[in-house]
Amino acid sequence: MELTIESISKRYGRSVAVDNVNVRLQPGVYGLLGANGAGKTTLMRMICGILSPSSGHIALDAQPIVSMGEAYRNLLGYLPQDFGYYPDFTARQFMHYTAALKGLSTSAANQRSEELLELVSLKEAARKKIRTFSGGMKQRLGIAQALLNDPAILVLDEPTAGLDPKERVRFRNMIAALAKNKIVLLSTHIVPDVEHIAHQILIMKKGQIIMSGTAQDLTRDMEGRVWMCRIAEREVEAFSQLFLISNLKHGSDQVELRVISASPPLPGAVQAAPTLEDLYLYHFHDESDPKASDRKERVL
Amino acid sequence: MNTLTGFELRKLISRKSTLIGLIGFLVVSLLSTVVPAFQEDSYEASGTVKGFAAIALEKSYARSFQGELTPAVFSQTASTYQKILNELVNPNEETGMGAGSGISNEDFYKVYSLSPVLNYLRKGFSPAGEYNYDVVDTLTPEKAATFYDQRTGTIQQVLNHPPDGVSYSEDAKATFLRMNDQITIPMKFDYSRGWSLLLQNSGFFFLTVCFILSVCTAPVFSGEYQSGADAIILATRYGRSKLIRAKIKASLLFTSGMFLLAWLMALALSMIVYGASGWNSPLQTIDTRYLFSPYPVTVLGAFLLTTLIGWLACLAIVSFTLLLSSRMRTPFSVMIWSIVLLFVPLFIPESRENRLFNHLLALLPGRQTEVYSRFRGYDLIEVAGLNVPLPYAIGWTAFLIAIVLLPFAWRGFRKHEVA
Repeated sequence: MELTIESISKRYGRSVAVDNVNVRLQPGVYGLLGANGAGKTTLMRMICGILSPSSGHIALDAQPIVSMGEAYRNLLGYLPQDFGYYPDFTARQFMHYTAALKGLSTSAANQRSEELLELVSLKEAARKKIRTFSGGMKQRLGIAQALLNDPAILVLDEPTAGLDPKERVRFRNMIAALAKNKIVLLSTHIVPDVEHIAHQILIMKKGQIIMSGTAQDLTRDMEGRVWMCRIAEREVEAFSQLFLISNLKHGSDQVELRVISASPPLPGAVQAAPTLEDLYLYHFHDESDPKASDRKERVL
Repeated sequence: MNTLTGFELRKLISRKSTLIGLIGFLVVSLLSTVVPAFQEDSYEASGTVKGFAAIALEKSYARSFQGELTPAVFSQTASTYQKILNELVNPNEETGMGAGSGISNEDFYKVYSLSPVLNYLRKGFSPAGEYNYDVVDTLTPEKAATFYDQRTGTIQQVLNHPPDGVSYSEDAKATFLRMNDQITIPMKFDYSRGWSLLLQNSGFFFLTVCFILSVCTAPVFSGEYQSGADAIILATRYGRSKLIRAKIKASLLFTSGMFLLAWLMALALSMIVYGASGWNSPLQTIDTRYLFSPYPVTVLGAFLLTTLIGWLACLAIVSFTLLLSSRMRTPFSVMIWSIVLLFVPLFIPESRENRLFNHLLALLPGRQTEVYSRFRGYDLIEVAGLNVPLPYAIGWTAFLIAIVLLPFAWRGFRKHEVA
């Protein structure tokens, strides 16, 4: 099974949400990493066939998904980022409704709904109306509905949003267990989630996939650019104007900094092993920081 | 009913707007049936009687004429009336009014029991389009016996010499005369005030039902867009096929169910208050305004036709609402446009000169709900060489609107993109 995304672009007037993306997805877990507005959701919507690309095409095993229609959607499980529930439905009713939409028979719908509600720890809340659910419970219900048809292609847009740390760990384990023989594409801007789950990471910026590979592949490029150093607390502000700080730890009289820089930021700075978080910061530090361009020179 | 239709129905029924709508139906039903009962009045020798006692008294007067209105009944009634009148009164010469108009209240109460038939005579022997209360004062029993000929003569006169701005083709005249020929004579009479009131209020009633159903069905598609549920739905196997069918089916079932529930509630209240008598009388006897109606149907027949066409009008407005719902982002904007479509035609004045304009106006949503009043007119719409009486044309138009718009609603949701 191969999902081919070929020269996909999506334009809204003059703005480009997704810009000429080319990816081939085979069974495995893919993490789509990018800042808000990078185009992750738009790309996922096009993969799910709920948004038409302005150009390019998507094919499953060389067959365009548009022409596959129901057959393609039958293989698909999708958790959108912000999606609507029917507040007067109970969790069980919502699962049965989605099961009917996915073409499951009544008996299969009953069995699968119970299994999945158990899996996402909502069995006891199955009879409660969704309007009474917390954000995390709704998110878990969303994950459960995406899995109802045991999809071969699972697209999860910000699946860990709203989940507490314990639930996030459970989710990661669940995806790891379910991912066999499936294409799982999940987007997030929470780096540790991707780091733990994804076999392949796609980094998306301004509508383009700028890098892809395993966490090791991607961080390899960062080797020699991550430094640890200590400075006095009063110097932190001035220092942060000059360098990209990926982490900061307060000591008794000094602050330990993790700095991303092409050269040592201070005499005596020690090199550190790069992480995906460093990589993320390296690529997205300029997304919401107006002073980023000044620092960019030093980073590069 | 399949699972998806069941779920879509559940969504519609569980909305607050449905509960509010049901309360609205109950209020309108009470306003159309029970509230007018308190305002009913009748007269007996001791004076005016009001409310439910008036209904009982009117029934008793009507029962004395229950059965066929033969020429002898008209003749006898005119004779009795004039006899009583002559014994009682001196015409009020100062006011110039006829004897019937000039009598004292006490004397009026004595002749009032003849009203059920006298009113037909007054209408039947008045010039076309008028109601001369005093015409019975001088109507000879022999002349009164020609009531049905007089009715036919008035109809022919109207068809041959219609008012300004109106003209009838030979085909149209023939159609109306043929319809009139099918009315059973002598007409059967019974007390039918309950039916009359219910049908008179049917226009307002149906309009309210259409309004409520528009509000209730506005979120069928747009609610999914607004809540964001569209992203899940459209990515599922049947999200673009069976679900749309289920939504449309559920909306039509919901519309039909709510319409029937509301209308049957009004009917039941009317029957409780006024009784069911008069159902098998001809429509022409329901009210003097319908005396010249060309429609050869009983009161029950008119009720069923009005119900059918009212239901189709509701389906038409709901289809329009579904079309908007599939294309607009929020239920609120759908409601606004549906309500505009429903109510704006009511504020377009009818033309004095252009009959075709009036006919087309009558076909618009909102106006369709006034179908009962069209049963008393001589209005035809010519379509492809066929002369279609206006009430039936309204029914067909509503049916076609419902049928034609639904595929567009289907397409609207099917092509919807989650942007």
